[in-house]
Amino acid sequence: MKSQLEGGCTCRFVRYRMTSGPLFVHCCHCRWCQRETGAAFALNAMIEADRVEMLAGEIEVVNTPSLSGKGQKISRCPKCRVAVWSNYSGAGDAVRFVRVGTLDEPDRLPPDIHIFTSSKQPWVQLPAGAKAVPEFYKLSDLWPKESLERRAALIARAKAK
Amino acid sequence: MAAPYSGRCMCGDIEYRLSEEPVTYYACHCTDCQKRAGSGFGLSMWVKRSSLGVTKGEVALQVLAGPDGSPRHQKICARCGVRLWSEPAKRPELAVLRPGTLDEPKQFTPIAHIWTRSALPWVMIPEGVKRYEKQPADFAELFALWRERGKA
Repeated sequence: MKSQLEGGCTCRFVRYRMTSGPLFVHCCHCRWCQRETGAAFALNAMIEADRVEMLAGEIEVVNTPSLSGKGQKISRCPKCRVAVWSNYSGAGDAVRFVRVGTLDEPDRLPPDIHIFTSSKQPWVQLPAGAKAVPEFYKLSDLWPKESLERRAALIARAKAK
Repeated sequence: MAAPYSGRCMCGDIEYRLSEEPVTYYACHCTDCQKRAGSGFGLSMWVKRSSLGVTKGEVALQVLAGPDGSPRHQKICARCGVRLWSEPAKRPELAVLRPGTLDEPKQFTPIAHIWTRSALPWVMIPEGVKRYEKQPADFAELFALWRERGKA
């Protein structure tokens, strides 16, 4: 088994560890993600919140608007303000969208799909054969069986509460 | 389209205007830019500091230690935390804008990719665009490449 995925902000106040692989990895080319990163796209590894352990520091949760209009909670380092993950209204607090670029080895989580390519920067090229959709997609069409089972377990847990 | 250009943060508290053309624009694949953007690479658009004007709200100054230990002055939105630009101490006449915050970033194309030795393996660097394994010894090269763009 590969070593666990650890990451953090640039000032190293916040350090975290993913205790398993992600559910799915999005490369999101929407204009909101472009604004947030200041760059061309966001890279988000979705993972159950209880599979992310804080190793050091603490995060500050910033309520921020999102494309859906329902908002997202962005978790930032209170010192350097780097965003380490966010939670969207859909999956709520149960799923964290970890910013892959904050991992120490970001090359270990390539995107499973490129989404919102309708607003992709024209000079950004996608690898041959990469899955890409103009906006969004149906999870059950593309997520691996194990990820769908993990998702079903999350939903069951939320209902039991 | 030509200048002026407009941009803003995510929450809309801050809006800005860029009244002149950029000085250069490149993609940076260094690990610091990856962490700061949380993404595959960072984008840096150098502009004249005098050409950047805040048209709504008030940008907050954040001072951090840069990779070489010198202070790094970033202008951010105090509410949503989005980084808008940085003001390098060594180049007081210039600012480094985060072009993802522009309203129409599509019209600009980076003229170089730097620190490609840490580029993520799946990230494609377009053919014919200048690449540096690390960074140019003199950033004036990047300014010259931008001036000469499209003239080849």
